[in-house]
Amino acid sequence: MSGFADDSLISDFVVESRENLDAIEPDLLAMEQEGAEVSQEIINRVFRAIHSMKGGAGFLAFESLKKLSHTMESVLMRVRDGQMAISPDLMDVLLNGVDKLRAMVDDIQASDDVPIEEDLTRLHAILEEGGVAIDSTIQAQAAPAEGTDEASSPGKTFDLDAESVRAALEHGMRLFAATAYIHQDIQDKGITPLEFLDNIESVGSCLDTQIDMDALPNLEQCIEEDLAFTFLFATVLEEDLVAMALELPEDQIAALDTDAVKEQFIGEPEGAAAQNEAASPAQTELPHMLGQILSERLGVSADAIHTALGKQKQGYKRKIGEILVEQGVISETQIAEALQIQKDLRAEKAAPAPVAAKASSPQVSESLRVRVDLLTRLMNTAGELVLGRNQLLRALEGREDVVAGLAAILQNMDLVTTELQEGIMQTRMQPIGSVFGKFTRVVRDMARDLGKEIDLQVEGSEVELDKSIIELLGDPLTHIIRNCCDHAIETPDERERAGKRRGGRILLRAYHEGGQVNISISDDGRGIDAKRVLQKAIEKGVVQEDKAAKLSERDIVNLVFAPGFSTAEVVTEVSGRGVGMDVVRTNIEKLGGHIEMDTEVGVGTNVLLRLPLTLAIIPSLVVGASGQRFAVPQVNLVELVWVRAVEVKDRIEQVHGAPVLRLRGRLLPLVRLSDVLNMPRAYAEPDSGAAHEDRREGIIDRRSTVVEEEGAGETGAAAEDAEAHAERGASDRRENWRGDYNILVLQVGSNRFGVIVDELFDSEEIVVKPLSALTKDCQCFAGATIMGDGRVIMILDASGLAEEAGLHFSDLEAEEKRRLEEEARKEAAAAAVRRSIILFNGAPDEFFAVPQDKVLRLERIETANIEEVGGREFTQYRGAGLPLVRLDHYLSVNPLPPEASALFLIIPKHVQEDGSREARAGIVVSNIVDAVDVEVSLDDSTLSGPGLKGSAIVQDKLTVFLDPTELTAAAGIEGDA
Amino acid sequence: MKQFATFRLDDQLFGIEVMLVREINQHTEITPVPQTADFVRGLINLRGQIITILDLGVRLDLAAREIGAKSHIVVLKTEDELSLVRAREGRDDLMTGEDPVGLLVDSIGDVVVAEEAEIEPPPPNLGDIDGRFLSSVVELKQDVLVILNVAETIQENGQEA
Amino acid sequence: MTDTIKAAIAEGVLRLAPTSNLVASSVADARTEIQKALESTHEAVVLDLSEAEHVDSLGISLVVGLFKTCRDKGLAFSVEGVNQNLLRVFRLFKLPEHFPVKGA
Repeated sequence: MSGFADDSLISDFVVESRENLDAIEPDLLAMEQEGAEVSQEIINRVFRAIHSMKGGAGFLAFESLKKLSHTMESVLMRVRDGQMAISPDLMDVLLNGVDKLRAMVDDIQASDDVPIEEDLTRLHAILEEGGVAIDSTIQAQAAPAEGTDEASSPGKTFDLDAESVRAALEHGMRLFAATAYIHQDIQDKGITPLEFLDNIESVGSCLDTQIDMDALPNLEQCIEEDLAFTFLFATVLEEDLVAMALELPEDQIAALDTDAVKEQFIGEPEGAAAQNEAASPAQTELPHMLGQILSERLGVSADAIHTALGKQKQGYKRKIGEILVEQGVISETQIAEALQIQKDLRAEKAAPAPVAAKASSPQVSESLRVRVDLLTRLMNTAGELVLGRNQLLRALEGREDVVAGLAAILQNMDLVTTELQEGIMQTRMQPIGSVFGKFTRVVRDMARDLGKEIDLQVEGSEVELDKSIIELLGDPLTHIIRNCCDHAIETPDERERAGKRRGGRILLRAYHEGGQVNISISDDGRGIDAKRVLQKAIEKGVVQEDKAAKLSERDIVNLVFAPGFSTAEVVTEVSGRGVGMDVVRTNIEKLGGHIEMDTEVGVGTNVLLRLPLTLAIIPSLVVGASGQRFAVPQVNLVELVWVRAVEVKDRIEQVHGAPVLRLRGRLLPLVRLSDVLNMPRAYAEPDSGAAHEDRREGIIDRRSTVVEEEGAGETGAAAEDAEAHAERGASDRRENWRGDYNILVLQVGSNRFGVIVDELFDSEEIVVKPLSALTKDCQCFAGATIMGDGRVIMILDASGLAEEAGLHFSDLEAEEKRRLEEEARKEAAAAAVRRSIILFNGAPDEFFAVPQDKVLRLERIETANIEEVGGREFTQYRGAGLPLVRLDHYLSVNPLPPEASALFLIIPKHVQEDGSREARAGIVVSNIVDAVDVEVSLDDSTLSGPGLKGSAIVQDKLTVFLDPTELTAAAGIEGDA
Repeated sequence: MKQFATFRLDDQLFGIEVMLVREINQHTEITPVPQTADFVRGLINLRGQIITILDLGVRLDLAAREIGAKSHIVVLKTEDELSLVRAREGRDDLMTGEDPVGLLVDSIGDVVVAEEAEIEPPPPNLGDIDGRFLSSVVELKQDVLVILNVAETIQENGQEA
Repeated sequence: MTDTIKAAIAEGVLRLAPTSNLVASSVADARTEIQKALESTHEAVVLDLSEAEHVDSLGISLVVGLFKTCRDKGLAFSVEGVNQNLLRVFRLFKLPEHFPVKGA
């Protein structure tokens, strides 16, 4: 039988079967979840997929595969027909069957070696429990509908179950009526009827059968007369293949017109029929359609058409129209007319078909299988093209005028290249659902094994990623999800005791964020106890005890990603044994991604993966350090900060011995690229190429603020690192020649840090070329790329840089926190010394202030009312003489303007022993400016004199602050004098 | 009979079987790769392919090479490229590495043809050069031609091997 | 006569039991023996296939022929002792629609 089964047929079958299996699994799980509520469409889809595998396997003579899929099909048929309830046990058996089928398909030539006896036994047991034998189900359900089979055995009628026919047609199968003579076609071929039956079932399904009893009149002639066995048969195969598969002469097989059958049985609207037609383009010859047109539109009798069809089937290799014309039923013009109508109808139907098909079933879309290696090659070629374009643009830069129109051509080429590249990248994009899909099964199986209730919710299946990323994502995600089921989600009883729902929940979610794809896996399980992680980490030597104190809770939890760490106290069968989260992290980072974990004990855990959309071509910024260029992927680059030499002391400081960039309240660890890469700090000036030197030692200016290590005895990692840093700085004094700093702010996960580079060049799209095994060991690089000028440059890896530099983010977080607190404290303190002052002038351009609470009254007096007695000035105030004090007599300030006719008195408050307040003197001033609240710190360094408190800027004026009581005392006016 | 591409480091003449050599060029714009093995001199762009260049001097415990007017790069075949040759010539003894690698040498010499009988086993070591990098020696009229064990020389973890 | 078919009459029922498979090699003998057994008088014919594991196409023809002859003679006809595989074949050929078929 496999004489016509060449390799390409087999490989097509394998590809299709894989797709079928991938599609079956989620559908089976949906069936289990929804139970009796499950839509018929899902069941049909599973049935169709298994059925088509069975057909292919039978056709290609893969016996085990055929047997298993056939038996599974039988079970599914029962389910479809409502004769068998969906249960978890049933699904176990079917899912195991799917696994076996997958194993067979994966190594198709050895498929017969896969043991399936157990599966078959279980499936048969289920079938037997179900009671009714399969073949009778059609009969039992048989609705009295009639399909005429005029082709092969005129006069015969089949009893057909409308549901079976509909199912078959919906699955894109074709219907055939075939006749087998049991002697000639079965006995003489050396096969038994049972084998023949199996044969039929292996390539399709038998909808109905007929045996021509009349052909065999009695016992006497039973050997001599042949018994005709006619059957109606649905299959995905085409007519000639059916004949080959069943080993029947072609003239004993007649294809039925699907549309006609459909209309008759299902009364399906024309649009749907057209859709089906579009789905099976092989069926281009549809004689019945022409017949239909002839009878409906041109009034040709159905009988005449049937007769003609009969003739055609009997070997008249003619077109139906010709036969009809020959018989004088219609004229040639009528045929031409009918053909035109047919043509129009088909055109009409063909046009909307793809859309309709898409709407009804997401599986059917206009697509073409393309080999992945071809796409990869195209992608690489496109990458080269992009490089070529960059080179060309660079070579012609500034020379666009030399050839007329060159600029426009270049621009166009630039555009087209970009589009081409994007398009090719697009072809490799796949929805992440292809990975997510399998987890429903993983979670279900594990929940059953572990006796837990776990509900997996999936969001964002439509988010697309590059194929290579999708492929490499499967294992790490599986590991994380298995960990969730195994360790995170508690048993139902435990959960109940903790006051949670019995059923745990895992949310698997993909979403776009800032040019990346994030995948979060969160559960509502027991969370991870940081204390236990830390204890374990110390035990395992992942972290040293003395350094542990410095770790933030978040750092501790993320220690689970450290090599050789497992939080499981008992390594269970399902946890994946030795393979820990460090492998997960390594795999994710290999993809250019990043992983981090957040957890709260008793509430749950969230693992977040950040992934680039594509691997191969990335936008990046080219920077220079030590005369060498490097590419920084834009995805890691948050911003560029330029710190001018004069700002260095304000922007850069030292915390725990390591340089830090202050950026909008945050403290970012700061490293110099040349230092991390251990390159000499030489800087070549672009114009002259001359190397310059800088005499400063470290990144930090000596004037910079230095935060000393808290606790003198502490020798943490930060301190050691700082020493190393200082050493390097001291031994190598060459530096940035200008003194300004170009700082790249890079992000790794949620951590940011600054990298000082010597030069900034352009942004460029670069093609990432992997590093060879010889250069892979440097974690600072993500790959290499070829620049427009042909030079190779290295691509920096942000997380590798951070690691290589030994950055301690948690230290800075703590420092940030400390500063915020301190600021808050200062603010509170500042509010307490907020002063309420009275502003006034002495000489018109001199401003003074006294505290309001030290002033009893302000009075306006006429210059004329000032009297001089014994060298001291007085004025009448409330029936007594009040001594006056002039500032210029006691302080080095200018006198009041002599021409003023009115002045003001500030009368300081003197508090008596009994608490009453009295006026003892008045300070003469020229003008009261304002009474205000100010927050100032007084500068007392430049002024001195009695009652002088200092100076500050108030309302843009240099203002001298006075204590009026002290001043009057200095003037010899004491209390109770 | 075997053919060897020859080159010099300082005064010593070395050879590599020509079947292992993809090409020899003077592509000396080498991009250094910081923080990697000391014998990795850097990367070059060879018609769109990135080739890792080893400083053969460092590798063989001689001095690092200074790049001069006569400096050349001997680009070796990869395992993939070699597999064809192996199959055609039936030479299972030919071995190289997976990644494209080039060797930086001081200058190149002629192709030397030697009969099997002239090819002798290497000494345990040759001056400072570790014997594991050597495959055989051929006595020439005025020179001793030292044939390199290519697979060993370009192996990344060769240090521990 | 060989004993391809065991024939027994009880209460007007002719019981025909092939002693082995009903296949091409035995069908001709079986037919002769059955024809002979049918010569006696009875009201019903039962074909007992308990001993026949396999029935090939000729065997089917024999069963159908026997059925037709019994019908012509006005005798009730039924088949018994049909194993599962055989049952499928019988069902495929829609034989149970024409006469009762009982499984093993």
